[in-house]
Amino acid sequence: MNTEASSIRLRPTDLSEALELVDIIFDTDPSGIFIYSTDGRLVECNRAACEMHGFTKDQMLGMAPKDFIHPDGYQTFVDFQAELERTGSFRGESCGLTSSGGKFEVEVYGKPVMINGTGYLYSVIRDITVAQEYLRRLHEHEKQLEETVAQRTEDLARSNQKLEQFAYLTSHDLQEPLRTIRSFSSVLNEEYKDQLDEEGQKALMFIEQSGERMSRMVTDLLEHSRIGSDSKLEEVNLNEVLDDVLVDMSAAVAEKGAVVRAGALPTLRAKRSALRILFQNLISNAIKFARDDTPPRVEIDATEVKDAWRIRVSDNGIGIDPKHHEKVFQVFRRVHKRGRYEGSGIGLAHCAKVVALHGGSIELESEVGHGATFSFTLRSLE
Amino acid sequence: MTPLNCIALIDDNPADNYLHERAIRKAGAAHQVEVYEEAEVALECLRNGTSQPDLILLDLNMPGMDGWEFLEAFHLLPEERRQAAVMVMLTTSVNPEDEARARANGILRGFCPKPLTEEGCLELIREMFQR
Repeated sequence: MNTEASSIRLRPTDLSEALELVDIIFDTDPSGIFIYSTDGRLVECNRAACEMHGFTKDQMLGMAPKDFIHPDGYQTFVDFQAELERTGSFRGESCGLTSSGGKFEVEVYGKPVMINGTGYLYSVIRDITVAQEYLRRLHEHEKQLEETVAQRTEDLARSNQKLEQFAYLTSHDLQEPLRTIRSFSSVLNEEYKDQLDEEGQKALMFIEQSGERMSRMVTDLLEHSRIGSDSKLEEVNLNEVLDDVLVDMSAAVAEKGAVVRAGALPTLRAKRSALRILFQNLISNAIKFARDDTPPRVEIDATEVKDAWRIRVSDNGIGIDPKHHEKVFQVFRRVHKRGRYEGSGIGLAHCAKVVALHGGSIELESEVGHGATFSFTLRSLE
Repeated sequence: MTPLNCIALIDDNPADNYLHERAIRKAGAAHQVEVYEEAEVALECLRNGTSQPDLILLDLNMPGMDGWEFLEAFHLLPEERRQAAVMVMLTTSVNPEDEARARANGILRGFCPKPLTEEGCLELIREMFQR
């Protein structure tokens, strides 16, 4: 009851009108109104108060407060008396007791009032049992929802793990018969090539080439499924990772006359071998897809963004048509015809997996003939 | 290189056995090649002395008695039956767990990636027998 008297605009000036209004309010207000003497005796209450408790007014007025206040809420009544004396207002929650022994939850407001020169304690209660019940159900549903989400997240993680395990096992087991096929096509090549005519030799060549390609793909898949599983978390300085990668690639860098420039890169709590795969693939792509007339130039920089680092690897190569941008991150999706550029087409899928593993995402900005910029975020892992 | 007297292949895969026997013959690595598709049979021949290889090439994944079980059983043979043979494990891929386990096994003297090639065979024999 925060409404101050001064905020009432339509106020009777005539005393009898004012008293009538008080009666109407008292009688029709759905809140229970109680007037206690300063020593805690109930001296007046309204119709709503009686209805809430299931007593007649006469019964109510003859009762001690502990007979219509539930024991669980009685402390509030004690506090109400003390608080009104101390601060002049009260606000709290309590429980009412009904004539049949039932319990209902209430919100309580209190104010001291003067009536005919005597001080009283005025209190208004509102039944909040239904509201509280809804609130409880809401909390319950919220909890259930959280539990469901947690369960689903766990299921998803388990299913992903199974999928990875599946990829690992199939690629591992596929290697064996494939190896046998390749071995026997070598046997044919070594021992029986002279007995085959031109067509037969061509067929054998295709078998060997396909076997080699499939072997490469299976190995790549195996590597893809293993990314992140074999390395522990450690503090990784990305400049160091880059230096290591460049040492490994020094022959290709020298052959193409490539220039690789990097700014200061961050140190992250991360998986070192995975980040190595990331940089290795991005830089080797930048060098591999160079323009014929221009030596490759690769620029790497890092900027801090909201609780992560954004790293950009830009090149001046042949670029990638925007219609292929999504496809390039998928396993074995190649943009170029086989032969012109080596590779099975798994490198950028590796990159996307490494970035996802570090809580980030990878994007590509590129136009044909205008180089490519791979931009990705990385986060320190817990 | 002086050829070994006998090399035993213990592998359930006939295709691999064919390739390995061929590699050994092309390398001229042994006078005789014994092929066992079941580890139990190989073990019995070693136990009763009908097989006396200088080198055993052992596959890991086999139905029935697998490579590890074979090694355990081999270890229990009388010493005179097992001392002459050098045990080498054939591996398909480098599974770090298997490799660590194999290294910790006292009987195994080495590894050989599948498929064994002519060159691989010569190198293996140079390494194991200093020939």
